[in-house]
Amino acid sequence: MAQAIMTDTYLEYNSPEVSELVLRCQYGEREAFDLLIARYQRYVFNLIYQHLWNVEDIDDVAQEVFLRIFKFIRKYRGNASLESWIYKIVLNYCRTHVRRRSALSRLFAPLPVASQEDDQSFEILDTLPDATYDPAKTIEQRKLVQDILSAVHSLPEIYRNILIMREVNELSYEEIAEILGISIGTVKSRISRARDLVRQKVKLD
Amino acid sequence: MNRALIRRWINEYLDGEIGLADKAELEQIMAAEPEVRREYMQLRRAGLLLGSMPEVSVHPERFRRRVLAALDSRQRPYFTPQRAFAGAMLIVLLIVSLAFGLVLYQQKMLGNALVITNAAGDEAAAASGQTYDLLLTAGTTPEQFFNRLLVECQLGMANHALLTEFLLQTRIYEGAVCDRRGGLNALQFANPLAKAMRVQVTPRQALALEGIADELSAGRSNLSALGRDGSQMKLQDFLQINDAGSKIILYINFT
Repeated sequence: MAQAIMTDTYLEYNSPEVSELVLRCQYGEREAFDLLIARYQRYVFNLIYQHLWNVEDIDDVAQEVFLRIFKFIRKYRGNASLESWIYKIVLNYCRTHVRRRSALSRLFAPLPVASQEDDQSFEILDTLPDATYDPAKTIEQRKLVQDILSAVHSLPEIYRNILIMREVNELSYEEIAEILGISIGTVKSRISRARDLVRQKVKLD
Repeated sequence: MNRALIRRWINEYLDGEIGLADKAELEQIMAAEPEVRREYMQLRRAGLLLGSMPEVSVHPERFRRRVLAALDSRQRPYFTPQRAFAGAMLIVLLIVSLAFGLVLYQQKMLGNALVITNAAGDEAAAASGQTYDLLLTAGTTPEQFFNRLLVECQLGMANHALLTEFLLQTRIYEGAVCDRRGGLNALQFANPLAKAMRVQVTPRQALALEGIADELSAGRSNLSALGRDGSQMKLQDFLQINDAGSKIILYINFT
């Protein structure tokens, strides 16, 4: 009975399949955790990559994110979609990671990063059109994308995160407001401001 | 037209959140004002390019295995049977080491005395014939000897503890009667005393006994170190390597 009521709550924002998966994870089923990782690992990796960008240890960050998901999944009450809830965890952990990394870099000189391609769980895929199609245009476009990414990642965190949420992940104002815990009016004004800052930094004509 | 309002409309237009009336009005403005249209196009392009940033592909199994392994290691309780066993083994090892260390310490402190002199508790060494006892050939009768011992102790010439050792170990003074006219042989023993005797004393006490025997026998007594296997050691060597206070076995042969 209790399970049926909880599933109903989760159904408001999630599919029946996801609702059941959440419940099983909340009951501590290992197989359900396995399924949850399989279902959301690509999503989590992409969010981390988007928000931390050139980070070399995505594997470690993603692992910590999933461990936090398992730790806190019992607290998920279905007030938002599971994806939004996971997004919130990713953002919080990315913030912690950046803070720790900068604190460590103040204490220690950066170590050369060993090549661990064999152990990596991920691969960065270029989504731009094939250069053979129109080489000159593709090169120009690549440079522009790099300029925009650099501009976005040089923005203050409150603008950077919101722009990625809107432009890359296409979240609605409501979803962004829920994840960041701010009003829709603030979401609108921050997006507008972020876009304007990028337009000023990059030559887009 | 208010610039801030136009910018708000452009953003809502880009996000598909603009109302129908505002949308129509913005489209009219963009058609009339190239600058507004240019701004819209720039923001649209930036959004599209940002949306085309590289994507991450994840190895389907590798990462799952990694996370589940990390999850297992974090969920594992601190006190597992393996850890409890390892802890118990560590404690046993510690106790054995302490005991072994204590034995080594005792041996070091007592030197070779325990091994050589057949001190109390070293039965195994004694059985192997590696130990040395002291043999006192008294050259006198036991009655004379024990009478003299009692007198010397009464006079304070011999250590009282020596008499106590004999009292405790041989009980030879039990039932003895004292005759005041007896002089140095005042004690009359209840039974004839044995001609051979075995007592546990210190080397220092053995030397004192040898002194008594020597006096009674006019120099005919002899104290020597005798191995269980028949070998002999010089008394001087024996006394050098043995602590004067440690216990040894003394055999006394009387006439």
